[in-house]
Amino acid sequence: MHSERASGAGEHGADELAGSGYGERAETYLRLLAEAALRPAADVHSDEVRRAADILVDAGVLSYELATQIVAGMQLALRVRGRTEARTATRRLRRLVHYPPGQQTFKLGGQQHPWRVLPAGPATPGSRLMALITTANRAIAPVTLYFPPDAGPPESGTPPFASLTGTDDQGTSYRLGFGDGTWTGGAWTGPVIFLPAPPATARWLAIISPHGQLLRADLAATPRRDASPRAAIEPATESPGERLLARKAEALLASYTKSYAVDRDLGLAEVAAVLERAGALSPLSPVHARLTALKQLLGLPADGPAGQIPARWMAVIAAYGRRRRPAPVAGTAAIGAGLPELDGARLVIAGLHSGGSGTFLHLVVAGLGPLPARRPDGPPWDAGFSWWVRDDLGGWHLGVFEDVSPAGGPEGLLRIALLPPLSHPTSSLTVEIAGATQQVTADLPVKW
Amino acid sequence: MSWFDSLPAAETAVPCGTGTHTVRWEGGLLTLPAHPDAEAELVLGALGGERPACIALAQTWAGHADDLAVLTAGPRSAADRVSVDWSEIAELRAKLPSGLAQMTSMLRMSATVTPFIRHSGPQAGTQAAQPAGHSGPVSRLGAAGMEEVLRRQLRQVELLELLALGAEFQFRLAGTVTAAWAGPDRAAERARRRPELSGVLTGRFALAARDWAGVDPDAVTVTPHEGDGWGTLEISGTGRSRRLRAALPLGWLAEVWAGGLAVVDGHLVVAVEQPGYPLARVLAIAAPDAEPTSVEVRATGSLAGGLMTWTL
Repeated sequence: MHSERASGAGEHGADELAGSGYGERAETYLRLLAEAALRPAADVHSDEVRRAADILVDAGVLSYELATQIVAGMQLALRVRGRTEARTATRRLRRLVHYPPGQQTFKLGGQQHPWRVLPAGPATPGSRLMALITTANRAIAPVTLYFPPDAGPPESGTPPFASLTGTDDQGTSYRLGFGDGTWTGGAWTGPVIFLPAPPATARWLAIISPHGQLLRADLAATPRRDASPRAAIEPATESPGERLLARKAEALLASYTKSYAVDRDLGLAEVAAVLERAGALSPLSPVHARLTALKQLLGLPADGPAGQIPARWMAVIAAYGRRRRPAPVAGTAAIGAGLPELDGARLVIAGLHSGGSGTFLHLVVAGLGPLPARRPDGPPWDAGFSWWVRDDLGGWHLGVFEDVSPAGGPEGLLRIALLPPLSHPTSSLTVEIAGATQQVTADLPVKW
Repeated sequence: MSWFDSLPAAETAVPCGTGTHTVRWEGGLLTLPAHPDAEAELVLGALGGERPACIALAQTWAGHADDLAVLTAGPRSAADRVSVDWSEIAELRAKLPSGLAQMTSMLRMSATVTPFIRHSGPQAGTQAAQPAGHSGPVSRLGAAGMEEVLRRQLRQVELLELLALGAEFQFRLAGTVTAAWAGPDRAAERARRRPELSGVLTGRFALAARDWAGVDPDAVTVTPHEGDGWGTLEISGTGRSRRLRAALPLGWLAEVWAGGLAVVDGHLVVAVEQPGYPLARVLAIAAPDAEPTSVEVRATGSLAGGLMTWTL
């Protein structure tokens, strides 16, 4: 039997990080820490190893598989020494408990079928399509469906999905699936899945209710396979440790908006220490001073010299510090933009929906790291990406992963909350997404 | 000259059938005195006959002879006691789906087992039969994920089984694994597994360095040494900032550490020049500021935690 080994660096940009030496240093650090935890009367508790594994996976410098393998090896070694240390499940290990070992949620296969991204046409009265994304065997349409009053009582718990059918101009019937969505008084916003994928000859798809056509998606539009012409992808300029701490800072910001229950401490000191020891963060990095300044501003205990807070962080703090905040704009807008592959993830921004509960971007994704099916209580998810959005008035909005649901294949449907919500119907959005090794900036037209 | 030349034979008793049988390790090989024609019993087992536990154990030993997980679970020093009870193994085996262990062993049997069993009977032309159509319990489980989970469970049970052989065998298996990885033909693989091998080396050498010079084991880092010579060793700092950095060939674990030679009468052994039992010649460092010198060591004939003890 040859020794088994999981791949080295994290799910996102594994090759790049392993090649840059981050992966090897991180693995060596974790293995030496596990060795220290095994020694009798060790200063290192096995929980410390588990937390360090969590942090290194979050930073993208160690794959989930390899981290699991190292921790499992340590657990077995403790067991055969009669040491059954009480342990607390770490955040990532706990939340992934229902996934088989090493499974990557919505993993990209070896042979990737190109997605066709069809932008929605001009808005018409009634239901609103954000975009239609055709994959290998299905079409996914994030939409807002308006049900006529006689379709059922608006206060009912679920929309009358069972009465809906899918068809096209050739009379073909489609099975319809409905992802997680929001249902407010006769309007439902979420993804509709058409099965199978429509043939190339189909001119339009429609959702039919007993009271008539609810939505029509035009398939004759020119497909936009690639990102907007004004999308630029480039290598990450910060270290993986700086990336992770920036995302932790964003989690603190999300906490400040009071939309999410975030542990106010977030264990930032331990995170920084692990990243430094594992070679993923320089002790001289300016991110330390930025975090200190942010914590001071948010009234959290902070040590060390404070630096300048980035303007976009300040924009979020300022927006939520106002006594009266503008109400979120109401409506559904189409975007329909496929972004260049980012750290192994495919992302299509279908559109956005905004209303009383906030503004949410709707995406079709594949190749993301493991994510839970439901947002648990606690800090926002860290899916390995930092999301920032700028509206046409220059206002910054932090993107926070709200929920993700499967679409039946390798694709997932992702909803990202914008903090603060949009307060006006912006005509464009500039999206900045930073992964572990790459970042992309895209200018996207928004059609309400 | 082999890595195991400084190791005497070892024996232990294992449950087999309704009784216990002796398993013997000698000269790098596992032998089954109670099963003089192990190969024939292997073939019968592959054809559906009953496979004695001793035979299965020999297969398991061979199957893990280059499995680095052995080093993760196994002992780091004579004082590091690793203990597994045979009753625990029986319980874990009983929880595995019926036939899984046998099938998995059969699938890999012919390729890996024969070099590690000393043959008493005919040796030529014995090939294990493959299960017809692979239609056993593994394939019936369907989902690849479930199959993988079961495979890992089986691997863990096998590992525990090998550890249940006791300390003497644990060190000899660790030596077998590291010797398998130390050859010049595996330099590229070693380069890919450098962090893992650093952990394996550091975990063991750090305890030897503590016994030798009182260095805090947490302050020791060892990296695999490739190329000529025994490697390097450097101690820096004082007090709490005292650090030891070393580069040692992976073969140090097989030739020195597994033979109980890591520290002999206050000397840190960095290489074996002439292996042997009960006499061997080693390269040893008397003190942190000293250079390695060639010295002769003699086995005392007594064991400490499964490791042979030596004296200058």
